[in-house]
Amino acid sequence: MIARLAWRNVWRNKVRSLIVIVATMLGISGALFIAGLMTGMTNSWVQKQIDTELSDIQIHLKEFVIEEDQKFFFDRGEIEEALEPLSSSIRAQSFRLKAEGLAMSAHNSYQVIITGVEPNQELGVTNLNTYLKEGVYFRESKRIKQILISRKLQEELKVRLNSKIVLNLSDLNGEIVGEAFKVVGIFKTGNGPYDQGHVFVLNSEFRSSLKMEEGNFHELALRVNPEIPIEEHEANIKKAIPEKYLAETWAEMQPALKMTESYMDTFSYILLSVVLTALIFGIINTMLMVVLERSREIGMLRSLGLNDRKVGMMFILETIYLSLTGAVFGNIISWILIRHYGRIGIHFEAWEEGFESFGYESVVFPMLEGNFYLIVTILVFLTALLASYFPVRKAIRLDIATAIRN
Amino acid sequence: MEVIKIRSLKKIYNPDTVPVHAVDGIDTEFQSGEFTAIVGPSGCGKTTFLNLVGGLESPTEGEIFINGENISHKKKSQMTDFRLHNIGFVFQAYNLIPVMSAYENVAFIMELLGRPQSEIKTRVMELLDAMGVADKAGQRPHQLSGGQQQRVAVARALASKPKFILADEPTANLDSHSTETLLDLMLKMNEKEGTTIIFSTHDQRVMNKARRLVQMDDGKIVGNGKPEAN
Ligand SMILES: Nc1ncnc2c1ncn2[C@@H]1O[C@H](COP(=O)(O)OP(=O)(O)OP(=O)(O)O)[C@@H](O)[C@H]1O
Ligand SMILES: [Mg+2]
Repeated sequence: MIARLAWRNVWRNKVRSLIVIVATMLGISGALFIAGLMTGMTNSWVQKQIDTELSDIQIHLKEFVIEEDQKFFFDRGEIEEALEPLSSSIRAQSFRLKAEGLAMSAHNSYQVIITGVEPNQELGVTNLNTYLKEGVYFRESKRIKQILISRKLQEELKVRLNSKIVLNLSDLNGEIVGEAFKVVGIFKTGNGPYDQGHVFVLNSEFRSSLKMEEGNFHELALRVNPEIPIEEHEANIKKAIPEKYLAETWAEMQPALKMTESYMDTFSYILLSVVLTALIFGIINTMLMVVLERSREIGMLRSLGLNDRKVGMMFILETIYLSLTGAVFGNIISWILIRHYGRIGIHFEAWEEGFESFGYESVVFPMLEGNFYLIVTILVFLTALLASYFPVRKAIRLDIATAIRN
Repeated sequence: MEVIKIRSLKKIYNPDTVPVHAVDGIDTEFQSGEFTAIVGPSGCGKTTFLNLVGGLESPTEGEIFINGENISHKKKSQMTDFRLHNIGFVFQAYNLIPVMSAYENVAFIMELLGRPQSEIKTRVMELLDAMGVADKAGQRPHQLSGGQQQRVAVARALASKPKFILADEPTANLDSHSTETLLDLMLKMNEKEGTTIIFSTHDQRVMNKARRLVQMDDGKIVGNGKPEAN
């Protein structure tokens, strides 16, 4: 009965209640949508780095990871044998060569990480080919060594497609070698810092520059069955491979990525608490007005024998109904928006440059985990509970005689 | 049988600044089934007296016994519960809960008391019928006239069969016709259900309907007896 009374009381002053409901709705849907946007941005940023560069899990020699020296290579046969029992959970693999070097043109030079790949293998693991703006993802050719560079590096070096650039690097014997490569493809992943510092060459051609033998590699990149948690894959792999190897997930290789994800969560909650804090004052204010306006009626109800608990419950419920109605609509609106834009994406073309200089895509697909909506609803509920404290106290402390005398 | 016994009752407002002796030493009794009017000039202490008897205010001095139970020292929460079980109230105005229908208003106290729905339904319809507002059962207070609202309020006060009903100027906002109707209905219910009713008024015609008149002046009882017209 008290619940029914409270619900009807909410609709007594429709305009005022609607203002609170709409404010809650806008606040909540705004916060949720922005959180969805940030989550979508971060997730696609992370996913993109996994897809273009990191892959799910990489295996190196431990020394290679520590010293980053190309002399720490491994034998392909050994690791393939070790991973044989796990072959069903590994979807794709790519053996890579890796070294640092200096990319030079007649105009400029730039420090880069050179990755040697075998194109057919690599395409199963990463999707750099989809970011090609010019040229091809390597071609059959015996005449001149081929290299893929980014648009950014191309501009820095002031070269064109089919120009030659020289890579300076030290070979296995520690001798500096310089070799000419022909730019056969120019890519642009949208991740500025990454683009600038990475070039790709063919394993077969890179191997001779490094003076490495057939069958030796620095890096094995793996894509694993996504239905099983990546940590589980990692644990299995670690058990299978010899001690000297180190298997790492993308999150371990790039802790910053994982951290950004959790920063975004934190950010979403901060945003939400700002909104809720603003709401709490609005709600308190409204409900105090309600108590003031209805003091006669409260006096009457208390005279009839409505006790403190019931009077309190009435105002608590009123506050909760008011806020939760707003929150439910806010949830629905943001859910619809996030679903809609999650499918078609939001195009931030005007800020493309800015987005990309941070490595973000200029098309954002907002997304939000389902339980975030639940958490928000619970938080709104708790906020309402907190906000009802002052109006309830006021209603309970109200002097009956004064209230009913006028 | 004596329902209410009052001894040396005093209420002093602002005792430390400008003391107002609103009720200034009252001793009296009310018997079961009484239909009594408290009368007196404005400011003589009628409302204060009724509020004290109803436990809405606590006395500065003196004792109030209801069915032999001293209520003057009850805690606020105990008093709320006591009112729910024992006392019916009718005020001058704003008696009804605006968001509830006439039916729901009358049922309100019985629902608070946890009476079964079937009993509530019979009782509420019986009372609305007796008060001549059965056809208004589904209406909200703002759809009723002032007189009809007061009749619903009386029905509500009667619903849970309280020990007594306190009505502070129940007719003050009504025209003479509605006043007459309300008083007649109150009297009828007093006779039919034997409910003790104590009400205050300024109105000469209302006083004349009472079985007993308690005249107050300056916080004291200055007259006690049957109205002259009877
Ligand atoms: N809260 C209060 N503080 C101070 N004085 C008060 C308070 N309430 C009432 N009084 C005073 O107590 C006296 C009695 O007031 P009360 O309302 O009981 O009179 P009343 O007989 O009901 O008058 P009326 O016929 O105008 O309703 C008055 O002088 C009034 O001013
Ligand atoms: Mg009065």
